[in-house]
Amino acid sequence: MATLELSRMELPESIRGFIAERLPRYPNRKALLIPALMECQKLFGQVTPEAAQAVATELGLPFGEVQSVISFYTMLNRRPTGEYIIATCATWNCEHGGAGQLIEHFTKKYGVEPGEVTKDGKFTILQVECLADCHNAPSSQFYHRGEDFKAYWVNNLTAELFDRVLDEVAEDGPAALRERLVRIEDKANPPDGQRWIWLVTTNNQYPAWVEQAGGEYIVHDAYGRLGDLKQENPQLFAEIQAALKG
Amino acid sequence: MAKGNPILQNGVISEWITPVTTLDNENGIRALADYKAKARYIPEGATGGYRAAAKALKEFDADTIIEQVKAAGIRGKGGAGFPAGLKWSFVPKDHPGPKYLAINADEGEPGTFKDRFILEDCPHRLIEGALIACKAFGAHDAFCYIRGEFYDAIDSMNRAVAEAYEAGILGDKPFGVDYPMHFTVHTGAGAYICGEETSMLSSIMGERGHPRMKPPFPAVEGLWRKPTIINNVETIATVPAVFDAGADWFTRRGTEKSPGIKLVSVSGCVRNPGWWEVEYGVPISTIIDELAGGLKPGRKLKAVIPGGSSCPLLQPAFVDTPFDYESVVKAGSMLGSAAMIVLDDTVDIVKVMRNFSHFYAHESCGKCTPCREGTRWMLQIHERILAGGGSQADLELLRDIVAGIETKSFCPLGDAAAWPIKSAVNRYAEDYERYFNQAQEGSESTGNPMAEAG
Repeated sequence: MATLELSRMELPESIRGFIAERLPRYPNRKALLIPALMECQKLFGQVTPEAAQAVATELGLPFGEVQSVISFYTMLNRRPTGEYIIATCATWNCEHGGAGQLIEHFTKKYGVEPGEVTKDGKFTILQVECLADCHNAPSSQFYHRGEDFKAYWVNNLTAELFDRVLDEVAEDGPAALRERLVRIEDKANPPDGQRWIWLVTTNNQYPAWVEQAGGEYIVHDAYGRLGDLKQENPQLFAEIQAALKG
Repeated sequence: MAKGNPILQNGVISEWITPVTTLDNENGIRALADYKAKARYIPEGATGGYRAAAKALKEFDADTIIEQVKAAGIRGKGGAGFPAGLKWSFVPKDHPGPKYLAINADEGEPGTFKDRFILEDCPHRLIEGALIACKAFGAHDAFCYIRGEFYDAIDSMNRAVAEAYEAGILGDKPFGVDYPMHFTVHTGAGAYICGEETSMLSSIMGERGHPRMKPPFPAVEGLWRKPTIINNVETIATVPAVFDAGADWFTRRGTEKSPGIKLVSVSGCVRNPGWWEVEYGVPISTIIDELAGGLKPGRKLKAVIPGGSSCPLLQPAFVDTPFDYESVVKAGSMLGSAAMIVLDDTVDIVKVMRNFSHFYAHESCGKCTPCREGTRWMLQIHERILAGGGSQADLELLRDIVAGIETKSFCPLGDAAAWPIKSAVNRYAEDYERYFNQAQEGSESTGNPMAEAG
């Protein structure tokens, strides 16, 4: 009979701190199981049996119980993943928006199936269910593992743009996942005679209207977001201004 | 029928509730307020933040709070529409505690994307609502269960909770009142079933997200077998408005049985998908045409799914149905989480149903047989039909499987999987039959679901 032999792993200090900080809020240690496993997932891009064992020890739970929980939740990966996990939604709105083409493009480009790691170790694409981003279909999230884990929304994309994003991320790292202007769509029904536009970026959509005054374009914020954008993301704001002039 | 304005007018709403975008009919579409600035409020001050919570904690006893919320007629906004005040009154008063509030932020129903914006942009409104709700039934701990994919929302909530502790709004003496309050953000890890209330409790307790038998209801035995109230994010975020604006502010809006307002998310074949806050009772057509920009030019409406993927499809004849719980049920569907998915005449209903059944087959937790097996059969049958191997008998077969799942599953996930397909087979049979006619030229199908499934 085969036995499972694990090499011992110390739970990283950051995760032990995460657990210790939250413990006073719960009546027992077990309650922190899923949040702690998610911290492992964020750090390593997967939950290895060694990490599961370390979490089990920390929380005083049987290893089997921890594995049973891991196998239930889809965000906890039991196989190695790339530096970036691309979670591409394929539930109806996103399927209708072309999620299938994105996944197909990825598998052709890298010659790997969803769930596998690309040869350069950069990416793993996963087909996931609804991400609650249906108004930006097709929607994906890029998860960049590590101590400075971050999730990036990348949506509104066609296969060609997706291809460009992949190349840029492989080249420039997470910096390439910044929000960029994808296109400007004119709306058919200007509500008040203004030029009413729809700014589609790699991870958002900004409704706005444009006023032309003396060769300059003034972009009017529709929902209070563009104003923030000017300060928070001057690069994107500049892209929008340039596109309007061009 | 709807009374009052079809769509809330400029300014009114964002004072009280959540991130709001709506139409100002006079000036065209514009922002109501810089909701980020408004929502990031910290204590009673110029912005009036936490005014309602301070009042509730300092001045009101539990019964008064429940009476006010009942008077405002706030109904659960996660899907079931159960009156919030009534739910809170189910917690046994003489229980020694602890008691818990569990806020459901697992927003996973396909088409729904409203809670995300409350969590990301108005986190303090949620904390304020939680303070009031906890006081109403004697809880001192609130857990907010946020789905794992919502990293931005989790960050935003954690930041807001830290701010609230720092400002003395959470902790041992919120607003100087001797009523300790703690708020904890708890993350999920990717499971739609954890939006079902008892599964969510299992998940918070560190278990596989399996639903539990009711009774005992969570209000009596929930988290760690203590009384627990489970409310949706939007429900809790609406509560402070009752004390800011008064209960009659709600009853003046919406319909008699569905008073007040609701966030709707609109997606699918519309030009301007997004989320809005509307009064209950607004005609569905108004939401589609005036808020979501209508259909693309030259397209015709084929179906509306009014409340997320688990609701039956409505035919175009029902497009003027008022958007409130009772009217939508009367029209043959459900309001659900108010996630409207609009389908136009280019959409193939069979493909939509294949996608939905894939979703439910993937998300079924596997606890009970009707749902675990039934969702997979429905997926296999749809795949076979799309591959050209369907026959008329498949419609009967699907009806039969639906009958075996609905009301016979352990939790509502089975119903959610069955109802859209039941409505598609009954109301859009011609979409299925198109495949059968093509198939007749090929080989005969036995109509056996397992023939293709293997």
